[in-house]
Amino acid sequence: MADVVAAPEALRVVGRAVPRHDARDKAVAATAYAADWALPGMLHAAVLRSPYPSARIVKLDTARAAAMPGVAVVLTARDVPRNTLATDVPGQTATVGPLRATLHVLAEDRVRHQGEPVALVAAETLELARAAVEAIDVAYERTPGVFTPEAALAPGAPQVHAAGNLLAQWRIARGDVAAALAGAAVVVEGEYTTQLVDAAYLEPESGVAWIDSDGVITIRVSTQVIEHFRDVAEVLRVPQNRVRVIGTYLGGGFGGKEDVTVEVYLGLLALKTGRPVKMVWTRQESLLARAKRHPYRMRYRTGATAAGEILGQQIELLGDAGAYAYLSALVLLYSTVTAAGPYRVPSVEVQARVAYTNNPPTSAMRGFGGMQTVFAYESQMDRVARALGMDAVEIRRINALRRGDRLPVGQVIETHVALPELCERVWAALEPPTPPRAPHVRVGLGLACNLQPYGRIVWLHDWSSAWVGFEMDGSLVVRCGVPDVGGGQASSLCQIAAEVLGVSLERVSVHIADSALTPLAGTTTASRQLYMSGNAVLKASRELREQLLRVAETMLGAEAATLAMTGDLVHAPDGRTLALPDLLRECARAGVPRGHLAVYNAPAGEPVDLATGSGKVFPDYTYGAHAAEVEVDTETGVVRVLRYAAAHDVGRAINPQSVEGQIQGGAVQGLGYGCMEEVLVEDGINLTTSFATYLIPTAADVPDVEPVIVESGEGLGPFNARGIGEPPIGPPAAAVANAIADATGARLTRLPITAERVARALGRLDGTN
Amino acid sequence: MRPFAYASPRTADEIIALLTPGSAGADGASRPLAGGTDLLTLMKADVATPSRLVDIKRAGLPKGIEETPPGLVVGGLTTLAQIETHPAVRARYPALAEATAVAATAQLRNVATVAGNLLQRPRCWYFRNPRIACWLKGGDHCPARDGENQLHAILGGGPCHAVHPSDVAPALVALDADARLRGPGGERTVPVEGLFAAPEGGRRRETLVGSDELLLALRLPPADGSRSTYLKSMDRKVWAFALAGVAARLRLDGRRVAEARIVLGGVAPVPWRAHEAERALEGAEAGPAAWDRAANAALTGAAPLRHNAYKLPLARALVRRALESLAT
Repeated sequence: MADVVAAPEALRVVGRAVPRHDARDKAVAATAYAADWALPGMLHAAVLRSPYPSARIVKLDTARAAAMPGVAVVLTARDVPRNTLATDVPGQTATVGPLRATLHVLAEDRVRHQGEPVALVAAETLELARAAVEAIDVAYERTPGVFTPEAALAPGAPQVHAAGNLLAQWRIARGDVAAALAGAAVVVEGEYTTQLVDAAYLEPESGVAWIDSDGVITIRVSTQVIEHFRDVAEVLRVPQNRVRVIGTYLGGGFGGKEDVTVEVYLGLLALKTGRPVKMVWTRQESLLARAKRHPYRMRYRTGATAAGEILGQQIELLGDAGAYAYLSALVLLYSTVTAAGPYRVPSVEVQARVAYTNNPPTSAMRGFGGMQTVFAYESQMDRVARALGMDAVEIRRINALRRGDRLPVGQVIETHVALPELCERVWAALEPPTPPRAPHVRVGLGLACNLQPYGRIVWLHDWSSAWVGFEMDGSLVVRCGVPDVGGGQASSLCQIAAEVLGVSLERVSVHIADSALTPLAGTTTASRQLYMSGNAVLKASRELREQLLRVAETMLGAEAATLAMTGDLVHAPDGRTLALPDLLRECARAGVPRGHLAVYNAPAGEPVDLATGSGKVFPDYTYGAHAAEVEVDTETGVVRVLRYAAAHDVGRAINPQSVEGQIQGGAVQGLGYGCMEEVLVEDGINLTTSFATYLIPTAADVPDVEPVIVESGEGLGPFNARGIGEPPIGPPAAAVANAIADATGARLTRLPITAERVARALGRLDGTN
Repeated sequence: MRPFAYASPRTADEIIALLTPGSAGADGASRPLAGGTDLLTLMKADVATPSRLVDIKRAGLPKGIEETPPGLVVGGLTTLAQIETHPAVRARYPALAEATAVAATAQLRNVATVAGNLLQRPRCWYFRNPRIACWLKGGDHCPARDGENQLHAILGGGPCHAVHPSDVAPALVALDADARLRGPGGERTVPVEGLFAAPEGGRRRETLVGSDELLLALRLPPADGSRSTYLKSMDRKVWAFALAGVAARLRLDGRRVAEARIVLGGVAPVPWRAHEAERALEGAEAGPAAWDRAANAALTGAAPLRHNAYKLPLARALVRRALESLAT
């Protein structure tokens, strides 16, 4: 796509760290988040959840609860017009069969995980709703469950779903791995275990629903996907055009609000009562029952030449899907495609499986399966380098993908890969090393790289649409159904429109995330919104510009191609200007539309047979390199991250401040994953349902993250930008593990890296049990 | 949280009457409320289900720090923030100032009282889960013994393996503080150390303070040339309970240790007085050899569970570092 304004130095708004329109409101608590909404006559809702991970419901009597004064309605599965939601996963392998994953709105005859919703209540107050939940007469008969994927796949294991516990499997076989490993000068073997973690957003799942005056069921909700209006309609058995979802500015999503959360319940309750209903999950509910990141067990064998060239990787991945499929098959696909890392590896075999268990369900979370594998492949790279006595940057420089190379899945890399530069930049950022502050302390440096797709799988035929138009006074309006999860999604669209149409940023208004009133833009997931909706706004703006300049051409008597739009004016080559209101009045008179709708379609493709490695899976990838300097207390095992630098090639930074925010936030969330976060589940029972036990990093726990923005101009997004939402969360755990190995020689292979695990790896626990 | 009644008496006698089972107006399930930072979380978790909260903040009970040279009296209602910032505490009882400063968060320390801190319940995830009938809640066994016990006791465990969560308690024990209590039968004074006892038999709580007793005040004896400190290790830098903590106090006579107190937190069901370490120190020459001996002696009798053996080297290192810092 040719740029209207190609040279970065010529850009006025794009590429500048302009203040986001949503920032001040958030800082002064003026943003109306989903839970801040209230309507007259509003009911409050609560959910009855299963206390058991695996049980039959033998009794469910709501009469007493429903009879309580102030209780408007009590619903069970029997009251749900269509209780089963199904999702087809295209491209699934023949071994498991075409996947038709199902999910119940409310549990029917059995529950499969602790916290599974069984019944809903709406009442005049929240206290009443909760009291009514307790008054529901429910009895369970506990049944045997499975709590690890290994146990789930063992012969004779209790079956979580009728079709068996193997939810999905993917396979890649490229080259001859056995021969590659046999011929390698060094072969490194490693087994890596990652844990269950939670999105832990500030804002729990919440929303308000009402029947609007036009009869449409309207749901104002914290979601990454306003297109769930279709799921709500399906459940309620009403036409899709009778449900409207309004997305709010989010207090974080991280994939946890990609699946349906409260919106189906709210739609049901509003429909049954005819009254506004609010549902806000408590932190405990959110930690207990929301889908989380898949725990993985990963086995890697990596072979390299004496010169450090990677010859082959043999990889086995096994993930825990929890009790329902959600997006597990696709998460596993991302892992499979990225399993060998951002490296040129001639022979690769990947065997990836994900199994149902009676643990909390797992689904999308920032990184989406591209994250767990980083810990494994970057630990392996570090081990190969150490075995060969090679420098951490050098081994990555030798093996880094280059344009024209193929990923193990067969996809040709069509854009620049800046990996060596990224490595050098973060490594240099941590110079000079910090001297150890005490004899029992060692300091080390670790490097980790990653690749993360942005944009959806090409056979999902992704698209986004946006409308851009002028008001008569020359102020500009952007309408786009993008949910803003806090990354500046809406603000970046304003920059793009302002740039193309020459309007000052203050004169741009943006309307987002309304399934009835804004053109649909798809999900704010998969690092896709800047890429997809950015391109849609860019296209709409350019086409609108052409449309308007054809009118200006006549007014100014100069060819459209010679006209410029800047500073809220149209400029002729001879210095004459035309004010926008004058141009717009003329458009109105001449019947030329002052607004324009555009659809951006991503490059599409057919499903790829991964096993034979035949082609493109994702539009493109974002690459990164992170470096950590850590201090290890060799007596206690306590690890502290002293300094941190993170570099990503973002193609072009539309708003450098937002890019830095994504890099820093991702790095901190990744450090939490690496060093402390774990949802501890014992036989299906979640022991960490509060922030007193589920620890996330505080400001005191993380150093300043130095963001390094590299702009290769090679992305597929607007102005050649790449996605940066997910990529920065990937490398931190591996960077820390590699730094610990550098400091002490001890190799940590299990997350999170706690003092206990470090002490054990250092041999401090020898002689104890 | 379940509904509860609320009372706000104006005298200590009225409070005690409301808390005393069988007395007029008492219903047997009343609990005193001060800062509420522990009690309310227990109620939200449905682990504590009092029918009535008795607010004890309006009855003129001792609050604040009174200098009683050469000692100090700390009212039971004194907030941790008041203690942490008090010049006399910082100058003469650094272990107490340091222990309060690393407890919880600034917001919690602004409302949490010292009495409530001493009497807080364990943070054990089995105990705090209302659906798990652990021994401490009246069940027949401790699920932590063979379960997820990485945060649990390595000393003095069983039948309950939860650890006492307080940072302040080890500091007060190391400083030889006394506690003044008031109950239906009048007042009594006991060493802070005597407030605690590992739960056993029918007594499924960590304290010997009666449910109808008020912890009125703490008396700190003269510092008397002692130096003290509190070191704490956590899973993150702030806002976490101790994996292990150590309060240490030394009185040196030249290069000799004249008196020593070593009290561990986060490793036992009660603040753990390491008598063997103290014996190893008293009379010894100050220096690395003595610190090592004390550090090893402090863990005498340790019986780690499956996932918490890391607490041994951790606690040893903290003891050694605390002693080193006091002798330099």
